[in-house]
Amino acid sequence: MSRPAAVSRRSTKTEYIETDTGNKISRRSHIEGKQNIMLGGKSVIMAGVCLRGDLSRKTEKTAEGEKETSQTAISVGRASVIATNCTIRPPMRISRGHMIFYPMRIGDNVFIGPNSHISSLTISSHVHIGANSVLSPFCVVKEQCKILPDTVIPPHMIIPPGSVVAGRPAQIVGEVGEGWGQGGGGEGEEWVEGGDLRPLVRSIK
Amino acid sequence: MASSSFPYTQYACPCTDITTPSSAVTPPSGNATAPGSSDGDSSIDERSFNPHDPRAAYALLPLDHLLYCDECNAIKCPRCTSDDILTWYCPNCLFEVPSSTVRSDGNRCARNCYQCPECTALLAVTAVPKSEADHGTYLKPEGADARTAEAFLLQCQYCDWSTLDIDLTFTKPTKIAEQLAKYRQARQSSVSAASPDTASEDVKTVSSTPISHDLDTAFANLTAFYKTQLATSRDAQPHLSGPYTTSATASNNTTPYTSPSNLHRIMSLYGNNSLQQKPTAKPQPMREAQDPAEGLFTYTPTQTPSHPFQDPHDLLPRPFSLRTRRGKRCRTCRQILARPETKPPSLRFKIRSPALHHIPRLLLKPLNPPVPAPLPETFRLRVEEKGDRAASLSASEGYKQGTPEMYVLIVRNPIFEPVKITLATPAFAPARAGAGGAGARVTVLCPSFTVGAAGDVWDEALGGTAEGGRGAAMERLVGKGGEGRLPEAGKVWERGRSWAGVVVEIVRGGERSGTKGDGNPQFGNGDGDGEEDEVLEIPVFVRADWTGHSAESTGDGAAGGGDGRDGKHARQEARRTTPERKQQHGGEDSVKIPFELGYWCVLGLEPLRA
Amino acid sequence: MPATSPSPATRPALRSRPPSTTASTAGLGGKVSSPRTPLLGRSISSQFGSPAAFRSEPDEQIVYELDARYLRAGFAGESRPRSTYAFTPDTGRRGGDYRAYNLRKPARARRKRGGNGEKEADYEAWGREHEVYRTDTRALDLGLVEDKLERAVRSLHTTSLQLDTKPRKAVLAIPSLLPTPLLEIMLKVLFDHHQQPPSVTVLTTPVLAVVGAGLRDGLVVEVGWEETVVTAVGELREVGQRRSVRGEKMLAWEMRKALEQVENSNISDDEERSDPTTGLEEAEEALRQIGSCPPFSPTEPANPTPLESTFFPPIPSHPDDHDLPLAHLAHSLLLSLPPDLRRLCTTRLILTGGPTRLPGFKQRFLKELQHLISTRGWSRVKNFGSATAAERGREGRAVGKVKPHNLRTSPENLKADPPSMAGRSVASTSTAPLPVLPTHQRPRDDVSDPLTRKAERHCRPVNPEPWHLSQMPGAADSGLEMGAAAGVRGVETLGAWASASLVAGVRVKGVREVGREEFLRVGGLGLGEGLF
Repeated sequence: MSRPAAVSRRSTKTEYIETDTGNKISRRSHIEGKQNIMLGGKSVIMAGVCLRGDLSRKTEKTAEGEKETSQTAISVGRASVIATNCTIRPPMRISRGHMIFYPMRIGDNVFIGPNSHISSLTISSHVHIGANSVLSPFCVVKEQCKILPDTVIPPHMIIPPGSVVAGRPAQIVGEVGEGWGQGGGGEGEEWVEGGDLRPLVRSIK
Repeated sequence: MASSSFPYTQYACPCTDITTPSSAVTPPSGNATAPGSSDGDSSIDERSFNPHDPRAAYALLPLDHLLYCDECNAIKCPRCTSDDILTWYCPNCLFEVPSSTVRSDGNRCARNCYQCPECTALLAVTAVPKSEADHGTYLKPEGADARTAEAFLLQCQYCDWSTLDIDLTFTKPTKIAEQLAKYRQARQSSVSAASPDTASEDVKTVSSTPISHDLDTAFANLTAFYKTQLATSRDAQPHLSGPYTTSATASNNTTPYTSPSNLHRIMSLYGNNSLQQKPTAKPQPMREAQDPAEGLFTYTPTQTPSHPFQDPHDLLPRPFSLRTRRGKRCRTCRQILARPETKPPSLRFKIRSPALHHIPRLLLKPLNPPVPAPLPETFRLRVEEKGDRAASLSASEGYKQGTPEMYVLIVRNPIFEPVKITLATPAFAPARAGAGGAGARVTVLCPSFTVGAAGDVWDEALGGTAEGGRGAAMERLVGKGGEGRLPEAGKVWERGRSWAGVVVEIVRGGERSGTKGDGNPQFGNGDGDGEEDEVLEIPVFVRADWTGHSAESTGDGAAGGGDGRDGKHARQEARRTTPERKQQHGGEDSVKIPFELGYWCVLGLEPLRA
Repeated sequence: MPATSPSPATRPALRSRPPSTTASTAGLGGKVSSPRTPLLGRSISSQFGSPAAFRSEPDEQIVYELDARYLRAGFAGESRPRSTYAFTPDTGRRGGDYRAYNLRKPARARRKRGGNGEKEADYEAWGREHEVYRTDTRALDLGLVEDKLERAVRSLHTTSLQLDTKPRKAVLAIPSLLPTPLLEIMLKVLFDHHQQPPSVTVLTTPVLAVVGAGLRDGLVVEVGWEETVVTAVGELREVGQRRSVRGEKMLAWEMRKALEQVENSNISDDEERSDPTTGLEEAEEALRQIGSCPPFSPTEPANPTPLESTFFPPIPSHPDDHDLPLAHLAHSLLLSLPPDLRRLCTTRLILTGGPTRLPGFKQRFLKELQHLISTRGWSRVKNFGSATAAERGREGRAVGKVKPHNLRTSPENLKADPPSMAGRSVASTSTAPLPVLPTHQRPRDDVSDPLTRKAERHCRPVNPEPWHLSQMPGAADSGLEMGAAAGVRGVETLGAWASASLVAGVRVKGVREVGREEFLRVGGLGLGEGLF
């Protein structure tokens, strides 16, 4: 009978789909526009995450015989973790009556905490974003930053590298130490903020 | 990060003298380093590190803020490093600012990066909407369609404050600084022109109506006044020391020979046909200022002195403060400890010697962790309710007062030599005096052990045995083979390639050995401040010994021995023996020199959940 | 230190100041008796050296001001400090502790509690974690003070001063009579900092306040955190001082009591109060928003506002310095001064400090002082008691209330009772007062020479006793009026930091300049004869 088989098949369905590059994508995530999203290897998209790859800039000109290609809306780097219930949406600007979307780049080893709303233009590598944070459109987060939970970063703000940012609106409240991001990633070691997130990725299943 | 993830470790730089009794008389109120409850074993507690001491806040740091100096073989905290400023840059536009203009710009960005006065967010230059119909449609960032816009303003993106609130618009989107300066001057003059109209019955005071005492104009006027006064008084008595020079440290106050006054005087000595005879003026002391133009602002009992209480609506947007990219040097030996790249947009280090790579690191973990192991708070992947977490913890952990809890203290060794570790803790970890939290009794089952050297990454990966690599990791995750294994005193609990774990037994509660249980039994203040009061912090003194092969002979080969409870003592000892070492091993290469390092660290544990 | 520092006349003008100041350095006012080079706007030394070399301004000094609650730092010659570092519990956190930004918790819980964790219901411990020192150094952990100051200096340099490592001299403005251990600690912190000033000039705030007002003498009332200090400054030297514990701390305490009274009256008994105690921040915020001083009235107010009850309280019968209202404290200090300085100081009252900027404070103080002078005069004896009548009769003067505006007084006015302040009952005489003549018309028993008489005729009565005023028909010329009725005059000052910056900016050498090597070698004791 097919039904027990179906039951057994469903029970073996895992939470995450693993791609051949090592990305783990949760089945409960909502991803639009899969072809416009690029994931580097070993990244994790957890449950409830909404990735809006459909909001991409359509190229206007098409040469003869070529298909209209749309650009990458969201590109995520290696070993990045996007925790549950986040919303990742490319930033948008209104110009001459049209909505223009800009591609969004997220770097390597980026940890995005749960329930965040990310519309930044760029997030560089080794950034740790806390839970419930809001990155408004067109903000730029440079590398090795730490964004504390419950932060709201206003639009167009640029966060210089190595800063700790908190508050609503976000202000630079400190700098990360010189040894930030080092020391994680060994065998069985604890995870370090801003460090290598591969053990964390490995442990999520 | 202190309370952000349990358990945490913080390290105290040995440069503080907090471990020795402070030089001031210890006050009876218990502000001293000794914990308030020390009566019996005073010799230990006196020199132990009380993490709840207010001074501890200035000594403890998480590991990523600490650096390590190879030359001095010591940990360096921000207090023992000096900064070299490499570049100044604006945090908003990430443009470097040349050092010559930094000070004159007031350490602020000169390039149109402005902060909202109400919420300190970024202000963007937008064009004023021309008509109602265009409202909202044609708001563009600067540059686009500038030719058609008539007026510009600065608008805050976060709180929607704009310069229209202070009735200020700009004529062009660039060179905002000049337009702002003009506006400010205009406002200044309008304020000073409108003098308050208080009528005073008994008039005849020196100044008729009080002019608003604006700090900047008063400062400027007074400066000019004093300069002229000084010039007058100094010139009148060039050969005498004026009233403002000291006899102790001043050199002669003579003006150079080429100054006009001296020239005049000299020439007048030799007879003066051409120059006018000036009457020798009696040297006048400096007079006081007489009127507001010289900086005197007075008021009488019936006049209201103007209080420039600034209305928030009068605040102007101000430019962003500059930030700096700094390199760090050791203060004692001037060695560069950290040198980042000078370019603002990227942060990479040319030289970096963090303490992470040089000192053994400690971490406390529960012996029997609840499965699934709760993630550290910063890496929490789901937002849960606080109550859930507490419930789950208390169900599984059973943190109760009086029960001995077992933790594994894992010590990791980052350097390429095996290190002998000696741990020391005061028997009774102190609680915050008067707080609701309680102390704990701490026992380290194996205080002295050796940790292996850290090898290359390849060695670790290839060695698949129980020493390290995935085998041990798997074992640990699954559960120890043999649940019945009990921690024994004197034995290392587990060991990896470059790390070792020993069991620490912690008994929470205020009991000490003996019958008097006068530890505070109440928990929680009810103020919502529970975390801070109840977190349990255990000070541990770590002493690491290893032998290093060093070509240079500047290692601090301290003679071992002594229990090493006093980090400062060890450091002093080390300094004393260094010159001897230098002589002995001056020219030899690759000599095994014993190194020693001692420091306090504080392990933080989760608060008690009754 | 340059061996030959050029005189201000020939030194070219300094570089352009930050936009906040509108410095006008050109132009000389007044008559000068010898020719001098006018101050130029451009640099002269470009003939001799490269312009860039001069532009580096090697002599810029850093000016610090130390207060019990703040440390300010900035550059000499600027009108405002670059930054103020406040010692709050939040700045005393550990490195890497960002709990202050944890928005989930209410603001009260976010703030770090004091070290003892006790409730802030004790006046002694009130605001302790907001201050860096207390003047009672017996109960002070000096190591903690040093830690706090070191962190303050470091953070000021990193965030706002942002200087390179060229050694620059420093100027430190401290309150008068700061305990020597604290001063030593501050100097040690300054010298140890990697900026490494070669010397530190130490200045005290009362003298700075006078300089900042453009004067040379004055009576400075500084309302500080722990205490209010009233200093008489003559020729830029402190000549007298009185202290009182009625300062900002007491003011915040009174405000807190008032707030809690209001809160108590609003909450019914069965409701629970969420916040048992009002913290210092709330009290100060309330003061900033609604603090004001009611105007002077002769009668005691029924419901004194916090400001009033702190600074202008009713006087008990045997007051000591700490019980006196500020005006009485100032008056007692003025009494102890020689008369010529007294006259100068009365017309040069300088009020500084946070609470003095609250609306109404300055008026109230001036009016109280004026009232006091007009009632009590300058007699050191408050109350002659039973000898009052005899005293008055003997000297022929009327000690009574004087209406400043009505100089033609009649005996009826003299009988009017003075305001009923406890301990100051002054009865008016029943006998008709004898006519009192000005000094030069009085019969004298000493032989005076014509020169003295001439001087007395021409000089203004520098210290008009009330009896002169009361019996002076038609003496309504401006001189006497200024001396008596409008004798109290307040002067605004730039404040301690700005004055120190002014002094350093005009290159005045300080009296107390502490050299670095000397200090580090011998410490504070080696400074010789103490620091003050």
